[in-house]
Amino acid sequence: MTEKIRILVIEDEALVADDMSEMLTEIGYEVPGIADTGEDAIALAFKHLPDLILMDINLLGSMDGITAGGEIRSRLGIPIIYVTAFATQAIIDRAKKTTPSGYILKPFNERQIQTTIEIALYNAAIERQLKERDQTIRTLLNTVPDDLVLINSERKIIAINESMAKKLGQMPDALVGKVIGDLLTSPVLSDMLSRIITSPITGRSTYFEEEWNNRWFETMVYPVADRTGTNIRIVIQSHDITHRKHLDEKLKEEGISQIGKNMEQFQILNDQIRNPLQVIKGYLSLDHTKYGDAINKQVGIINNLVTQLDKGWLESEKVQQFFLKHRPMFNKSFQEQNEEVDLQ
Amino acid sequence: MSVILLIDDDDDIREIFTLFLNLEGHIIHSAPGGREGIEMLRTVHPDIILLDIMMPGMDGWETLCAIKQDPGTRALAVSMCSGKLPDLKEINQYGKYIEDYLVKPQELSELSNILTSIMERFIKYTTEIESLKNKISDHHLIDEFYNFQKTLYMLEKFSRYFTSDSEEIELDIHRYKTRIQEIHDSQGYPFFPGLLELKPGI
Repeated sequence: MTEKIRILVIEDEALVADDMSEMLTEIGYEVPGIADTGEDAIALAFKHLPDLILMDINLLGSMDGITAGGEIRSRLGIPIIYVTAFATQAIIDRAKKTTPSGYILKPFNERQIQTTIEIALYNAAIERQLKERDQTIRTLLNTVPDDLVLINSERKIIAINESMAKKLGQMPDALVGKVIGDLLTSPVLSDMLSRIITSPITGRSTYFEEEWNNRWFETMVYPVADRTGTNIRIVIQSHDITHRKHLDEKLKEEGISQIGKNMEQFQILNDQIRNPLQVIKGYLSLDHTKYGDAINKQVGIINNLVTQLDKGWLESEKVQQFFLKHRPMFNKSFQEQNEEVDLQ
Repeated sequence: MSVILLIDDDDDIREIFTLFLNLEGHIIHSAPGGREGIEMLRTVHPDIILLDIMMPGMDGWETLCAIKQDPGTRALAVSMCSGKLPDLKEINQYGKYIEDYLVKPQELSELSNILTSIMERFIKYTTEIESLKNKISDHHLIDEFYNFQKTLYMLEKFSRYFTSDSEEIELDIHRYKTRIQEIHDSQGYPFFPGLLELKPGI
């Protein structure tokens, strides 16, 4: 058996409250409680956590139904249906702000109230689903350590994660709907990213790495179209790769110094190889053997090979200096590199 | 007949060099390391020192510096003799202190002739420098002139090994030549008879 829908009845006239409660029970709902003041309404809502609240606007005590309804809605998210005998525009405007699930005017019959309640419950279920999905997406967005933002073709922020919002100095919710370019009054984002955000939106995806504030970022900008394929939105994702960059640099340096060490080894070995060659040559010319020339030729070949290795050493210093000299190239911003490529 | 001091840590090298140079009538003293070689210079006065570079303990360049820093041995002729090619830095740093740089393996039957020609060049230079110092008061200029000549000789001798550095080498050579010419022009021929006469060989 499915559980019954639980509805609180908040009504200042005890008789009306009883009637309503009876009517609801007859329809098949459960009424876990009735209250006639705003304060009691809030307390009951917290106690029973009902599926819905029928809230009279006029209540006993200083707090009216709209205030109580607004409080319950914002703190517990429970759907509220306002019940009233009369409603001025001012009252309706106030009630609207608490995002109620419906209004029902007294007097009402069973069918009217059932329809209103069913529609409210259906909407509440949809709302809950949307909220859950929103929460899931939010969790996903914020779990990623990257900076993430989704903007539309007018560069208005559609979604943004906490990491990116923090850089812009506001909470994510406060940023949604704002034009991202307007937020870049101070250099909170890297040069290249700022430029991309404020330049005309193209359908092309872009990828770049750049150094900014002593950190390295890898940024991807890619367009996503909606189902119709016309409404282009842009996802911007920026990933901190400082650690990886430093590792690369370290590896490069270690590689260079290893080359240097190997070459040094060659140097010592080459020197040691030439000593026996010298001795062989010496004895050969003393002996004047039949094969003297042939042996001498082989000695010459070995010596040439050793000379090749020696040249490697002489050039290794040049290679190292080359790397050191050109290391700043790796630090140049993406744009400068790009311009260099263009010039070529 | 010359007196030669050979400093090399390789026993076989010392033996075979001694053998050949003895055959040519030279007197050979040999030492297995830089320290022993310098110690030997207290009693031996060689016409030329043949100095290996890669030696355990005191290496050849350190030994060269010690010899050239000591006023008692500074004037001696030194030629390096190594299985290692010099790099650019070594040439620019030590070129002016050495009379030549021989790379092993050498044709030992030629070694005596080579050493003789090195010593002849050394004596020629020494004589020229002495006579110049009587004519020109700026002795520093004379030293500079000959130091550059010697470095230039080394650069030209080994330039073919620095294939990837050829531009740098050419620049160095040009710089030295220009300076040598400047010094020469400031005094006028024939005060510097040795000008650009050096020919790399061996």
